[in-house]
Amino acid sequence: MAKTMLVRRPTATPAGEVRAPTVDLDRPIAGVHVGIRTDGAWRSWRLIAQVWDEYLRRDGATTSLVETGGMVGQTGANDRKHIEELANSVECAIVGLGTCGSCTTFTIKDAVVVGDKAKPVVAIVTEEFEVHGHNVATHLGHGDLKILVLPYPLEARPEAELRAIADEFYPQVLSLLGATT
Amino acid sequence: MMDDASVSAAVDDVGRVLRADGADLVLVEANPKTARVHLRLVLHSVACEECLLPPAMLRETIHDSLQRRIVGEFELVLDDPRLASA
Amino acid sequence: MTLTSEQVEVSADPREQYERALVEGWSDGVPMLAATDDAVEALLAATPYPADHALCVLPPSNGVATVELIAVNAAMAGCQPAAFPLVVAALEAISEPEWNAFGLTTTTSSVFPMLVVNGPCRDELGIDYRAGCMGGAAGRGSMTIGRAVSLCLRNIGGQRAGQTTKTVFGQPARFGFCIGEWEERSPWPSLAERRGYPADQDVVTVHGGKGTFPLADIHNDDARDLLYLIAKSLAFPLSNMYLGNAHNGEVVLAINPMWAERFGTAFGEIGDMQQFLRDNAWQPIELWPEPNQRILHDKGRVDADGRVHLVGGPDQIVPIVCGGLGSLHAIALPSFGESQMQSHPVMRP
Repeated sequence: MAKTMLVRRPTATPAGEVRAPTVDLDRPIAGVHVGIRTDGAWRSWRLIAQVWDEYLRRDGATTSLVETGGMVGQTGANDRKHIEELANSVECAIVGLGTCGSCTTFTIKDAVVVGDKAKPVVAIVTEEFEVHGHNVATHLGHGDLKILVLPYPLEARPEAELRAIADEFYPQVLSLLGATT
Repeated sequence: MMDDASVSAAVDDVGRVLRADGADLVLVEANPKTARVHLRLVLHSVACEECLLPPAMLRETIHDSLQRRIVGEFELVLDDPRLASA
Repeated sequence: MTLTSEQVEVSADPREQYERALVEGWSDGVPMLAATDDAVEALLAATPYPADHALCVLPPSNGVATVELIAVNAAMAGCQPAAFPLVVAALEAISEPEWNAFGLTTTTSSVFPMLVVNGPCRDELGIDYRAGCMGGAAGRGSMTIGRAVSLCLRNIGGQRAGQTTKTVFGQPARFGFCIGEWEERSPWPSLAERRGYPADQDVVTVHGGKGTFPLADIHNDDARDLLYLIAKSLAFPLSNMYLGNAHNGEVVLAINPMWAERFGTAFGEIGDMQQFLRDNAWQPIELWPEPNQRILHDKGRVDADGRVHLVGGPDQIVPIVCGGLGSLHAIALPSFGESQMQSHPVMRP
């Protein structure tokens, strides 16, 4: 018989999967105060968010916009504070953009801040980072976080294409927020 | 790494050659923490200045000779009185 | 001592163990040692922390890193007991929020923890700080401490390229990167001293570095000229430091001892040298194509003279002295940007 020995497994026990409940608006978007988080790194998302901001106000919502740009240092601390303030002040939020590894991680993290306040939230990621976004959400205990997937790559597209994408995906973001017609 | 015994022995070996020309090498310090070997060239008589290799060549020769006996990198600092008086 | 991590029965044959580790996903691709109870217990005896102490949570999967689990991974890496406290110190530094493990373990970037060790333990533990310190010197401490940290990030944090981390290229340091500073050849206080630790304290500093960026010159011996060229080299246009704001992140500059001596004569105070580097680490805005220029302007990165400085302050360029006596070279460890270097003292019983 082959000789064997005992060793210790080096991996951590997987955390029990906690899936925080998601919340829907369950009412029309008119009259709702919507938060939009943009990211200074991505002009494409700034433009799409700007279009959605116009449409939301056209449809009777009020909006608050916050732009993040840092993860650490004073900039990072300020950003996290602004996200917390946004999450407290709005009734629902659209948080983007996840189109790189760390920015996807922080998009999800900031979306979870809103979700932890039992408010509807949609995280925006691009296709290449969809799986990563879901993984991060799961690890943060929000495996059911609503994630809207935009085409990838996004950044170098001309303005007309980005506006077309904004038009195409606007109804989906409302639907994911749980806005009724 | 340098140790006192290896460095002393190496310096003595090289010094033996120089002694034939009326010069000698003195070990000032061998510091393994800084990897510096500090030697002083001593000239016992004026005549031997011309007998010896030029400073740069002598330095290289001493370095090579020490390197054969000392394991690892080291920096040779050689006080050559011929350079001071030039 | 009672260990609580799961026991697994494996073949006693080292080659079969290697195959098993690959199948189980424990492996970084290189053969490892068996994490037997006696090996793990020997490591645990070298730290003041109890085995069940939850040292930190490691992203991306937020695995809880108990000291025992860290010891298991360190045993696999071949870490000696005396070196284990440095692994622990490194993970404590990595888990500081401002190091941003959350971002760095998932990014598309190549960034990975790069460990710099200061203090009296360097020689005893085989921490490389002389010739070949960043590869080739093969000191036991350098190779096993770095690897132990890497295995912890893999096995406890769940960091796996292409799966849970989006790193596009990775980098060689992902096997493990741990060097020392050649303090005795530095004309300035050591990195740890500058960060507030006494000279006789063993300290591990963790930098989020994107790789090793080699610099060389054989033409100019003047200290200021060399430092000017170094500054310009650090400010390469595709540096991460140009992607966001200028105030986060550091770039480590490893200077060989011969250049350090020269630079130390010109700059007796290291702060003055850092200021010189900072002042010269810039590129003209015209270097970038127009779309990039617009963004740099938008981010407020262009000063009144049309210069785009690499970093906001001199402390963000961090010199250390290491490497061999062949001179001619420096190495930059470019920054990820959104991460602040963290130091932690080494704790022993």
